[in-house]
This record gives sequence, C-alpha cells and structure tokens, in this order.
Amino acid sequence: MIAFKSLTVAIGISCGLLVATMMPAQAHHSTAAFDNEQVVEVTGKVTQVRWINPHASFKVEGTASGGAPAGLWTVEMTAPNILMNQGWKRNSVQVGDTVKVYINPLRNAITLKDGSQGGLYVGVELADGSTLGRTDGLGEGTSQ
Amino acid sequence: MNKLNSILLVAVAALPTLTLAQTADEKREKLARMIPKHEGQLGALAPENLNKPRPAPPFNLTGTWFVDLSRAFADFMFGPPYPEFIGQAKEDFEEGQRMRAAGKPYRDAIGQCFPAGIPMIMTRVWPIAMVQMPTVIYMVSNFNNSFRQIFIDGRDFSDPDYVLFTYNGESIGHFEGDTLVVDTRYIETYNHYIDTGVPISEDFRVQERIRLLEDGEILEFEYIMTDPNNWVGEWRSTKQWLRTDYTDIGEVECLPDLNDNLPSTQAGQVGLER
Repeated sequence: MIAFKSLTVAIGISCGLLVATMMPAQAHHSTAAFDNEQVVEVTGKVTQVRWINPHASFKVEGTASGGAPAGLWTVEMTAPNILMNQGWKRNSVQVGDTVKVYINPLRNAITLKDGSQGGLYVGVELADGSTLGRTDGLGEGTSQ
Repeated sequence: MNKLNSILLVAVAALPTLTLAQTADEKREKLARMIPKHEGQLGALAPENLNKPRPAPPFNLTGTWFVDLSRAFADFMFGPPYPEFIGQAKEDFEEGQRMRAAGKPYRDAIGQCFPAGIPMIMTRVWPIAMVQMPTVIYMVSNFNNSFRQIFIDGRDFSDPDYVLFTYNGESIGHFEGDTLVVDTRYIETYNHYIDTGVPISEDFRVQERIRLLEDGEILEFEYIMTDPNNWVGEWRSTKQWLRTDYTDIGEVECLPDLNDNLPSTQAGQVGLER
C-alpha cells in the first residue's frame, strides 16, 4: 500500500513537472496580444525585411486565409540569433520574394501604424519551396 | 607682407608643439568642468584603486551566463510566491493578473523600449556578460546592452542629495564567506515594473546574495526585495544562471521605429504612465 502511494506520488510529481515543462513560452515582452490557438496563412510578396536585434520582422502584401483581411501584414519574429538556430539565414527572405507565411494573428485585429495587420511568426514556405518553422497550419509562435 | 606670412607660418607650425607641451594634468584641469568626478573616491578602474591590497575574493564570476529556464519558461518572473501587496500596488497587481488571464498585455513597458531595470533585466532571455575586477563587477545584458556595475571596493552609497536614479540602480557589494552580498538602491520608478505590472517606489531596495556552485558552472542569486510603499515584508525569489562558454553577447538597441514592426508592442501599451 505504501509502495502504491509512493508510485502515485511519483507519477503525480512527474506529471506536474511535465506540465511545467510544457508551459507555453512567453516573450521577453508580452505576446498576450496574439491568438496562439489560431494560425493564418498569408501568401504574397515581401515588401520589407528587418534582420536586426532584438527582433527580426518582415512585411508581406498579399491574401490571407480564413477570412482574415487581404493587404499588408507585419510579421513579428524572435531575435536573429534564435532564428539562426532554427535554420534561418540573413537572406532567407528578401524583398520581392513570394512566400507563404504562417502566423498567430493579433487577438484584436488592430491596424498598425502603417495600416498593416499583425501576426507572430510560426513558419514560412520560402520562394524556393523550402520551409522553415512549422507549416502545417498549427503551432504557436514565440517572440522570445 | 612676406615677413608677416613667415611669422604666421611659424606660429601655426608651433601650435602642435605648444599643445604637446601641456601635461595630462594641465589638460585635465582645462576640461575640469566637463569631466565628471566624485571627489575623494578613486574610480573603480584607477590603477591606484585596482592595486590596493585586498583579501582574495572567494570566487570570480567572470563569464557569460544564461538564465536557467529549464524547469519552466515562467521562471523569468519573480513570483509566485508573491508578497502581500498594499495600496495601489495591490490594485495594479490584481489588474495585471486579470489581464493576463484574459490573454491581454498589461504594462508592457519593456516592449515600449523602457529599460527592464532591476530585477527584470537579470532574467531576460538573453545571455549576460559578467566581468569581475578587484574593485567592481560589470554586467552587460545582451538585451539592449543594459549595463550594471557593482562596486566591491568598499565605497559607500552616493549622497542621496546628488545621486541620479537609474533603472538598474546603484549597487554596492561585499563578500560574506562564500557569498557575495549586493545591495541596490536609487532605482528609477518611471514605467518600471516587476512581473505583470507591479510598480516600485523610490524606497525599493534589492539585496542579491550570490554564490558560485557546481565547480563554477552555476551562478545562484537569491533576491530579497523590499518596498514598504508597495508590499509587506520581503519578496524573495532564487534564480540560477548557467555558464555558456560558446557564445558572446552582441549589440542590441531599441530603435525609435522598432515598434512599427512589432504588432505585439503596438497592442501592449495598456496601463503605462504616459
């Protein structure tokens, strides 16, 4: 009986640790504004790339899935040094490329200063057909 | 006219010689109104200060360190457990918790380019370079290259009538056995929050009790934070950092147009002091 109780406690602790390990990542600034349960595909031409610390970003002019508005989208990313760990290079995305980018959209679809919609990078299908990040229409981006 | 030209040429040619003739002391005297100094206190890097005889420190934490978030990413925060908040801080904390539960940003000051400040700068998800000298420890976070210096040369805190409050405050350290005890005060309060929007007052004090563990592979900071205007008693939290030898910190700046490209920061201005 004591052994069973110990086993139960051990399983409980293990599950607790597993849950703690699986906690969703939060950015060094809040990413609460993004709906991390939704992934929108934006297909279009890249109009700007900022490959810079503390956050890389790029803008895409195109169409969006799931009834999200067409037009300009600003894609927030994590820091270049983290992206490079994920296979990114400085020139992975260039102005003029046609890409399909997967994003967690803003919960409240505010229009940004330049009139664009906003989202958090989850993955991308590049101009040459190769992919980076998660491109199965699921997943949670991170800005940390 | 030729004679005048010759005199001018000689005078111009002699100028560098005249300048060279000035001693470093004379030049410093000329610039006395521009060079900041604290009378009676040698700077931490002055050779006379560096070379003073001192007991050998129990450890040297020089290295590049990364905050240990391997248990849970949320460990970058300093609670829970939280102290008993009072007054406005209690209301702000509860509002921050409500907003967080609703998936909304609140007081995202760091996202707006305000310095993270102590203690939050220490747990950004970036490496920190630390350099220990006999008189001072320099810490530079890779996040916005935020700079801290901890004086360990025996000096006192600055005169409160003249001190400049800063986001990382003024830090003075001393060794107690195998522990480096660092006290920090004079911490800027404007849009400076802990965790989810907890404000600080000018009476905010931080003590860090620092130990080097596991043959120098782990650096542990025990935080003891007090602010009688915002919470009761001590707010305690212990954090660890891992030595990371195959990296260096780089240059990071919060640019004026950074937020034009970051949707989260444009959505995250709620609750800030404007």
